[in-house]
Amino acid sequence: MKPILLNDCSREVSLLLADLLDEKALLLNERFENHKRLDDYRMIVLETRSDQKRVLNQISKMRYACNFRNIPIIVMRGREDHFPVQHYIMAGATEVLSLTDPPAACRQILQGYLIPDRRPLDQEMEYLKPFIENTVSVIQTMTSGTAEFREMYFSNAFRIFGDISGIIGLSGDAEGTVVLTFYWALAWRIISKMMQVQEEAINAELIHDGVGELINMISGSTKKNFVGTHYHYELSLPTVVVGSGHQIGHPEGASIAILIFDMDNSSFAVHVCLKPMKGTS
Amino acid sequence: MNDKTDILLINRDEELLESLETQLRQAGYAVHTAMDMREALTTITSHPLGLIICDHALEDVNGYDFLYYLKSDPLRDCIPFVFLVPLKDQGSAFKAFEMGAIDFWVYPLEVKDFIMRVRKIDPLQPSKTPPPGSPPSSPTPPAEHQESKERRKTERVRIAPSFKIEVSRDGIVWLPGQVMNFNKGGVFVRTPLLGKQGLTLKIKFLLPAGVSIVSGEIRHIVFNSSHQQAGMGIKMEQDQEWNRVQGHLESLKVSEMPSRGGNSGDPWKSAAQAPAKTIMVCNQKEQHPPDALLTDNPRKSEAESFNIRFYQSLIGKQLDNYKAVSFIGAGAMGGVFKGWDIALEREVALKVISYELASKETFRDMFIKEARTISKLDHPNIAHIYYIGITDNILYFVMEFITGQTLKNMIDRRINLNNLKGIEYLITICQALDFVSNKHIIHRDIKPENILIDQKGSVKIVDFGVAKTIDADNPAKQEGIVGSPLYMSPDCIVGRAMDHRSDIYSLGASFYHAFTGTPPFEGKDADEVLLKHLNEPCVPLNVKNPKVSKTLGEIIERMMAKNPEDRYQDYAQIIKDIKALRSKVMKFQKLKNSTLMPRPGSI
Repeated sequence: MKPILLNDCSREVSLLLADLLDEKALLLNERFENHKRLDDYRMIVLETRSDQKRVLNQISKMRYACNFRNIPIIVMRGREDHFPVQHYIMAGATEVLSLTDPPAACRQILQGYLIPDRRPLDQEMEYLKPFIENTVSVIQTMTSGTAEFREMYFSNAFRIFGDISGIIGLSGDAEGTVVLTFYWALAWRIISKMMQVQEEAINAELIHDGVGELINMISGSTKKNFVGTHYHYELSLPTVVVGSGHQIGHPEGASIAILIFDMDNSSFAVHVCLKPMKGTS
Repeated sequence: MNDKTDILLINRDEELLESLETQLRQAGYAVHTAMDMREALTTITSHPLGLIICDHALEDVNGYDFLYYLKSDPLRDCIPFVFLVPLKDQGSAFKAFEMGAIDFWVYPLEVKDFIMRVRKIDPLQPSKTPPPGSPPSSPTPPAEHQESKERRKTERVRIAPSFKIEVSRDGIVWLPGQVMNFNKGGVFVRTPLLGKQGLTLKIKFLLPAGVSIVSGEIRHIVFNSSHQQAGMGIKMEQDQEWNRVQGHLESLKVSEMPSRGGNSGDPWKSAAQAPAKTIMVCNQKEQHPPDALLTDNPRKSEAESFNIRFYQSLIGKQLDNYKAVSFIGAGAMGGVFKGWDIALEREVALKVISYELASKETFRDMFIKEARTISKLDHPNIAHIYYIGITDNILYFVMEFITGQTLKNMIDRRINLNNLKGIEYLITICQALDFVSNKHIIHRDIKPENILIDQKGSVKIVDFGVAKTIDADNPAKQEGIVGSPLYMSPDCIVGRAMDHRSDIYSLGASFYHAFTGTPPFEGKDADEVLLKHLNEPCVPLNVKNPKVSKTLGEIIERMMAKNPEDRYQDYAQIIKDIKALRSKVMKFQKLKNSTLMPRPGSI
């Protein structure tokens, strides 16, 4: 079982968590080091103290270190911490609890996040598989690199924590959005290979064209797989977004699948939200 | 002392605004009020605010839009923002957190609690150190403000505060942005959307007169850091639409004129809807006094906030054999998800019990016991419970998933139910509840929300979450108050031993609502409604809706007699009376048709 990282938590928080969580939960109280990968933790808990700015910075780094994995980052606020919650959420925290919150509520919320992610249904795999295959294939064609599909989960948030995203809206028999998100380092390498330029020469225009082209190709090649099915869609123009924590709107009630790929010791993600329109078959 | 101690109250209800203002002033705060976004922006630019308390709907914009606007403005995003939402909308208020609100408060709120909550807001409290000029709004480097000042010198006019827009390449995916400055030729915007020179963008402006979309071409891009939003100079198409937008932007650079339109909405009106929710008061030692649960106190709304966060944590998870595919909504008992049964490969409804109820041993035992009983109810008009389970301390039911609409939806959409169809629904439900009562079970929460009409038009009774088995020979006094105040029987309210006649009352009250469009009793809070159920005669149906027949009115009114002995004593009698009415109606319609329409073969 994967451990829960208690990042430099006080004795009070550690004891509280030990009390709240299942006795089988493995709690590790360690200090997060920069560049440490956090893929292998079930949950991360960090405690706020006086320096909120430092905590925000740390949350942001931790979110990156999760490599797009669905690892809940829980902020435990001290009794005197009245810092606005939204700053923690914007930085990448999943939930903000306080030592003064009712223990029963904290227990349920923590346990909710610890429940394993559901696996995709067969009917969901029907439309996700082509996206996986085409992503691998497009990356291979455009960069001569190998992207390996690692895992997937269904997101409960609309916020995307990456540095750059290519977004394409889908409409027609099915509607939704496909988003391709990278961290800068990998985006830089991929764009450099795609555009055949040195990384230092990459500018806003190349970023725009490179990421826009990738999402266009992934969605365009996948579209062909859906001809004649109720997943068939038309593509809109690709949009490129920069900055961490951007929020993407998806059709209401639709599942948002996050497909994670590994490449060159880093990861990137493809978010697929595809909802067949009613009345199509 | 902190220098930002003023409070801005924004609400479109003048009366409520005045009342809250008085309460805050009496508590020693400097208070400003606004009824719409324009007015609010004027106040924000001219006063040192420590808190904004904003209703979910303003006169000119949606409260969420205003929050988004404010949080997109680097100069104003540090002002704590609290949402005021009516109980019925609290489910959607969770998104306010993600958008940057520090809290949402569900109203109605008691004065003491309201002031107590305000006192807890950090910037309004005395601080030893002077507040930072601009607290960190995100972990990104704080160079952005400075950079915007370093923009090339132009004759462009800066708007204070910057104006919220949405930007799109294709008209499908829209991203937020803000106009930093503008001139006759175009605008300079900041947005996470990264374009390139020569690209055409659509820009959506929210003007007082409505939304205006203008196209423009990117002329230059400022993208200095990968952690900052891009800045773009956009040359706008010089058409009438742009002239209109420009005119509005011009008006923003001068001081905004407060514009008070008519008071179109009444937020407190929604408070009357609050009693529609199921309440439970359990006779446990650790229980809170009944009043605490009947009124919408802060503790309750805090618990609701935790519950919503709890349900949020379950999206995309799997509880035993059941996947929580998407969240449908939250009630007093728990959150409902659209689920999938992986073993039997079928859609199900997953109902997760709220953390508050699940943490009480008595409730847990009660649910499990009752769920077992109810799972044995096999009737075409009763939604089946397939399974009840506990996983990782999370208690949940798995029920039949029904696609359709509730009777409440139909009432809200003003679908006329005062017809044969409505009568048929009532007969079917009576037959189903007759079956239930024969098994010595009472539903205890009959209300329009729990009556579903599926896509084929079949009626189903759902949510037996608080149902109870009764011993007909030895009726025990009930263990607390359960039900929805708008439809709750007097016997339930006073805590008398309940039997199926309590469900008859609630069913009568539900159909009173369906046939007249308003619930039998309304009030500003649950207490008031409950008192009316106990003491006030309800307005006859055909007074509220003259189209309701006298006979139907009498049937419903008898179902709603205060004393159980004066009500129908069983469902069979109700069915008999309604069927008799139906026959009369059908005969009348036949007669009407025969006189209006020529029979086949006749001249």
